[in-house]
Amino acid sequence: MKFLISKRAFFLIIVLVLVSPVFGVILADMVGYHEPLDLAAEALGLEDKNEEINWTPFIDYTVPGLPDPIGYVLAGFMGVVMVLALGMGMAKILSREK
Amino acid sequence: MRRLTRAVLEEIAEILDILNSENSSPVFNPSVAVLSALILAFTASFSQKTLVPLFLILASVAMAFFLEIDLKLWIKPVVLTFLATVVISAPLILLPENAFLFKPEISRIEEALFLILRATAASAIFTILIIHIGWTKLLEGLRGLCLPEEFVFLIGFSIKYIPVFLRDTCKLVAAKEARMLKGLKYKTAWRSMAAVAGEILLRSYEKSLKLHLALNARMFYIFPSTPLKHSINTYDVVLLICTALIVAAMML
Repeated sequence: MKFLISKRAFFLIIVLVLVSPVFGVILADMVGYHEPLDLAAEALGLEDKNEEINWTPFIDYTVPGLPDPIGYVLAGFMGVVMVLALGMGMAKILSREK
Repeated sequence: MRRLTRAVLEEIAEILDILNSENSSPVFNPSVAVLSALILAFTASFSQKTLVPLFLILASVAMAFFLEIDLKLWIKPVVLTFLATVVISAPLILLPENAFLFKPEISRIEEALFLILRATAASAIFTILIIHIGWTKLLEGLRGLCLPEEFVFLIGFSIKYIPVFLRDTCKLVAAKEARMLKGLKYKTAWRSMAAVAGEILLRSYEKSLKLHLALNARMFYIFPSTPLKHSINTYDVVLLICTALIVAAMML
């Protein structure tokens, strides 16, 4: 089956996923970024039920037992693989219909 | 509610139309301008000093005069970013540690203001350079940076398509509301928005397909391997040096 994107684009996606923790984890921590609504909830004394209602072990793009930047990269790859698999699956179904 | 929904959609469409402008003879090399815009937006976003984003806002105003860009055009996306960040950071300002007293805490206000400043500065410097080079040169600039054609296409297509999509959504919402017999309240307005969602999805697919074909017919994507060559002039060197100096100032 023909791949949906070129090798060059695929390579760039891999590079972007590998670089993503620099922006999403390291630099965000450096500038002290926090979700304003999380801070507001904390200030109001609201209970954090995030872990109770989330079924996924990958909350906040982390992988249990791994450092945050590595978990971020793995979560990125999982997302990319899922989106590409969905796209390729749909493309295959549509090509059969034609 | 009705007016607000349409006004917001129209404003966003207008802002993207601003990026959709054309400039046949930009001062800067498109690739240099795109690269500098990205680096400077990144610098403003992750700066830990107040002076860097402040300087970038002032530099954007100076560039608007130098590049003879209509300030009214440039100010719209910047103000939208400013307002969006104000809304996002409002909890920081309004809900301090002792929230029940509603007495804002200085450090949180400072944090909120710094967040607003960084986002506004990033938007200011990025848009000024992108407005200057225009849509076609933006694509040439991205190709010059050896970005895969899929990415160039997605960026170029989004700038063209989003205003079309938003205006179409406005028309659908207006048509749906015009057929309502009951007085328009918040509840009915939300219902009408939900009712048009499916229709928007189908129409957006159809419109995007037509726009894709129209762009292909005008040869924007058929010959991507032959981008126009742009030489690097003195202005480009100055822009690159200024970018490097600002990045160095952020790191110091």
